[in-house]
Amino acid sequence: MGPDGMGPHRVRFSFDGAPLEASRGMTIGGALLANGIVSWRRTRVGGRPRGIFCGTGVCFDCLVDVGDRRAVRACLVLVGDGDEVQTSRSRRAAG
Amino acid sequence: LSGVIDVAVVGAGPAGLAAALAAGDLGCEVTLIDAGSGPGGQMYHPAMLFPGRRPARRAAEHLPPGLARIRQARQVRHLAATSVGQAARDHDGMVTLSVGGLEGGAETTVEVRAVVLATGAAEVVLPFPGWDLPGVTTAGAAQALLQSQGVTVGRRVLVGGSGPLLLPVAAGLAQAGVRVVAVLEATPAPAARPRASGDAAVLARHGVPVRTGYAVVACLGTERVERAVVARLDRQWRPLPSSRYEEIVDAVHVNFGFSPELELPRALGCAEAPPASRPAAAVACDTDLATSVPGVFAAGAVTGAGRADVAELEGYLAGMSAARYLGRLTPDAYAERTRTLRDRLEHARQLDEAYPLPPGWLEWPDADTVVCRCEETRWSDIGAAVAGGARDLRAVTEVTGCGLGYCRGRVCGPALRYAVSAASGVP
Repeated sequence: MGPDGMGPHRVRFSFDGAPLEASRGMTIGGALLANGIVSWRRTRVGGRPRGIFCGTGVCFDCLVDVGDRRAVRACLVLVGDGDEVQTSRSRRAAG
Repeated sequence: LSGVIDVAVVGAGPAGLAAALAAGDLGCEVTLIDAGSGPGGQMYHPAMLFPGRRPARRAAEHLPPGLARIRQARQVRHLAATSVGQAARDHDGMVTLSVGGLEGGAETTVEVRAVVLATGAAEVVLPFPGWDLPGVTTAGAAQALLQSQGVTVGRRVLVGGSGPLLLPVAAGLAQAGVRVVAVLEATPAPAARPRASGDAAVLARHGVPVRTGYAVVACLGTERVERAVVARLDRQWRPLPSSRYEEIVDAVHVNFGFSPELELPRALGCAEAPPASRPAAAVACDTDLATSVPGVFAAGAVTGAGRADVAELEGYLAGMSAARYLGRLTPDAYAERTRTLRDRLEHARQLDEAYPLPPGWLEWPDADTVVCRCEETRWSDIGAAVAGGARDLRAVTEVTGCGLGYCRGRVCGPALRYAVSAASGVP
């Protein structure tokens, strides 16, 4: 256990301001799902909810903003200690 | 990265790993390029180490023994979390690849003498009302989340679609404690013959029924899937109206086969084989797995292979083929070394059944079904474009904008190409 009571296998992050925990090594998408969150973006035309669909970086449904990194694919990028994950605001993906 | 590389292998799934090992064993200097954080690709997910994980699933053991050798292969340089942006073949036969990290950063240009394309395939998913609700994922997504992170999307789920991925995904979920209401294989029995397998036994033990000739034809819910409409299908996959019933579920995992990743093969000018009974075109190869472009070879799902053992055997053959192309093997030695391999490959391919994609699914979407998840193009927009004279997917895209979003049509492309071709009569 570290001084904050967290085991070495856990990370702390936040989603739209709410503090959450996850296992180290999870992707952001996995970490959100593990916290019972299935959607974290809205489409720009119909405002339809989106979360994980392909899980392998193909579909770009799962975009989130992480700190100042915009439009990150939540299914590919690992969650890090202190990550501030937010509903994606960008129209276009970074890559 | 500098100088000229003998062989670049793109993709570190079973085909790419096998190709890298085979070429490396024959003295080629190999660079293995893959977007994943470790070897294995979509077939063998590098498992995460976290408390409570059963030892057998731990990271070091996720690869089959023959491929696990990649960790000690000195001739193979593995570039993980790396993707190939562009590819071109010069007049002198040298291939130039631009290689970069996943999260942006500078791209490096590398020159290679031979390339093995083992870029794999994306899952084919057919659109139906509610398929874009959160909680509806590809079967591959459910598998990746479970195998690599121990995460499940729902607690009471349906697994549906068609092809060899359904049973292993459902079995894995059942073992993880997910209540799998049913596996719905659209291809009616006896065409779909789930072979007596460990997966089938696992499903039987957990009381999970495997229903052939059934499909999820709609998902209902507001913020996530709450109910799924299941229907019995005729042989053409048309839903039988009186057979519809609802299941309460919080996740649905679907897969209808695979669509080869052709971006790189297309950039290099490789010819394609028509889809036959499969949902999508694949890279055309000769019996030595050479593509139409000299020095460019292909193996695994990108050639249409479905099973992991076929992909792996193709990888060994493609790696040897590349070595022969570079003069590291004489034609005689090549013939000698590949004889047994070819026999095994032929045998494995016979088990690699093609699952057909009959046209009855075209009745599943309704007018408002979002078919292009990125641009939110509706099914009725596609119909209107075809009625207005668009004869192929390119023309439909020009009118509707479908396939121009984030994913560049990789998700909706196979289904829409099929739908437009069926509606316009143009193959």
